[in-house]
Amino acid sequence: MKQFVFKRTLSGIPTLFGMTLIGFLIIGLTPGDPIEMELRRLGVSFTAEQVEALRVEYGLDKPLIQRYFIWLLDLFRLDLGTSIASGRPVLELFKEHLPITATLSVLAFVSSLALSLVLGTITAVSQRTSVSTSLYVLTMFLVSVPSFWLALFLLAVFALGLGWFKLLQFGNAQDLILPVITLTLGNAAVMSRLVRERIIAVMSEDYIRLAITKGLSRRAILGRHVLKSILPPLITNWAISFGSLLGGSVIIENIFNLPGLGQLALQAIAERDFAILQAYLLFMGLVFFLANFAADLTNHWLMPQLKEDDHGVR
Amino acid sequence: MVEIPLLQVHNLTISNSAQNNEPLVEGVSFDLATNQRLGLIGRSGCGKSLTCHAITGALRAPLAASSGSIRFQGKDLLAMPFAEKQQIRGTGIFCIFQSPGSALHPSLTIETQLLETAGNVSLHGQAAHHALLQALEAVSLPKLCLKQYPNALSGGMKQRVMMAMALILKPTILIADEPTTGLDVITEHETLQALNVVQQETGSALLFVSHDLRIVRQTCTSVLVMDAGQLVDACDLNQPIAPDCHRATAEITGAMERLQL
Repeated sequence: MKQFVFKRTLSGIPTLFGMTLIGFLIIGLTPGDPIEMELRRLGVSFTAEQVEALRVEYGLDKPLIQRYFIWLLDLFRLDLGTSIASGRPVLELFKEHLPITATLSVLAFVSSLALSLVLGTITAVSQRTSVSTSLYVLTMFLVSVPSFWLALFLLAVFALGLGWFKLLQFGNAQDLILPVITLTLGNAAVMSRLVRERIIAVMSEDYIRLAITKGLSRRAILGRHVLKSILPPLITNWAISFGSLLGGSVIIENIFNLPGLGQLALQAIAERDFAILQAYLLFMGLVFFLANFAADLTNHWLMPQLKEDDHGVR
Repeated sequence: MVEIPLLQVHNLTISNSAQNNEPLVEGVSFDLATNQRLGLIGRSGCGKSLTCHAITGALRAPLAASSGSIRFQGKDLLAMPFAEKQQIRGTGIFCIFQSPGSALHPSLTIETQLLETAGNVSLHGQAAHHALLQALEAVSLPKLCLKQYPNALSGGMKQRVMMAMALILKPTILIADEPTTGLDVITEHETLQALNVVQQETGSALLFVSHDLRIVRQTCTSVLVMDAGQLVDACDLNQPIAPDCHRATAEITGAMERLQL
């Protein structure tokens, strides 16, 4: 296990560097001059000299590659640069906006995980019953519907219609309920279909037939034999879906007017606020990387028969 | 009072609902008595494995037993809800399937898989562990196997793990569905020996399925012959095969004589 962690960490280093390089270059090559954009936005008149002076101040006069290395060195000192639009350090902005997004994503992730296991198991085990068919149709609907539509639908019904929630304002934890539900439903629908397919595939395996023939209870068959087989590929998918949840929260945060990372990023795109965008890309990459890393570790632990030091008695 | 046979298969028909309910096994009826060792023989594809699967309840959709009954101690297995069937499976009827390679769960140790088997006959803790060791010894598997995952075991060893499960469960009826498929001759011999040990130790009635009369002779006293989904002949293996036997029986015995087996 230790060796596996060590190997995976080592092999992750080039990936992380690649991520910083691509993330930085993509943003850096975006058309539109951030200084001019910002000055126009502020509505002040400016001369070419003033623009040039500001460029020097923000280090934008240097070639892109040189800027990358400066940015990378700063990164090691946990300095993510300064936002042009607000003039505040990016790290400070992140600390301010991250908690909401993190809470939103983690809550949605955990609840969609639980919901997908339940939905997937019901639709797989009791096929051809009316309950399972209606659940299956419901998941199909939720998979097809875009999240912004679902968000607006929930707002219309529960905030506008029933008045259970406040509309478009963020004050306390209660205002996270609708956004979490929106993210959960979409994600759980996709994941439950995977769970269903995996269960159906595994149920026809010879070893499940043996478990049934041994006379094990339904609970032991599903809880031990089936679960242990369906988990590994699902865990990899869950890891990816966590990243997608974070990405998807950009839209949801904007619809529900939540001051999270997504809103910060979207605003930064509008303002060509390079430092924020580069940090955001790096953060997303890091989350994907860590989620995959966690998935690999869990799978390694779940499938001990894949251990390299397997001394058979054959 | 007339004693009810242990297992009564009556007029069993298995069909494929995806293909116009075409019957694959039709009108199969036979009884299995306590302590009887019955062979079920026939060419590949004649429906003998399907008959086994119907008895153990391992038929997979779209295949299903469309008519007839399978009575275990008088109770119809086909009409039983899942939970009730699970009471009979294992201790009542246990089946050693062909393809031992895929029969054991790849991510559970042999110990876990044997322990949950022991748990099914209410053996726990020290008693279960003791039963495990006894079973392993009876099928001559080393103790080392317990901590292994199935991928570390050979095909013959996996099949003997299955036999160990049978030893722990002590089923009333033991079904062996071509348990020697894919094993070399020596392993085959060892497997059959282990099976005989299991049968003697547990006192189970045995239903042994094979396409090979030579193997059936080593384990059974009588044999049923299947051909094209139907039961066509029944022979006592202690007697010479009658000259007026069915064509399928003649083919199987004739082929053996020609090969001088």
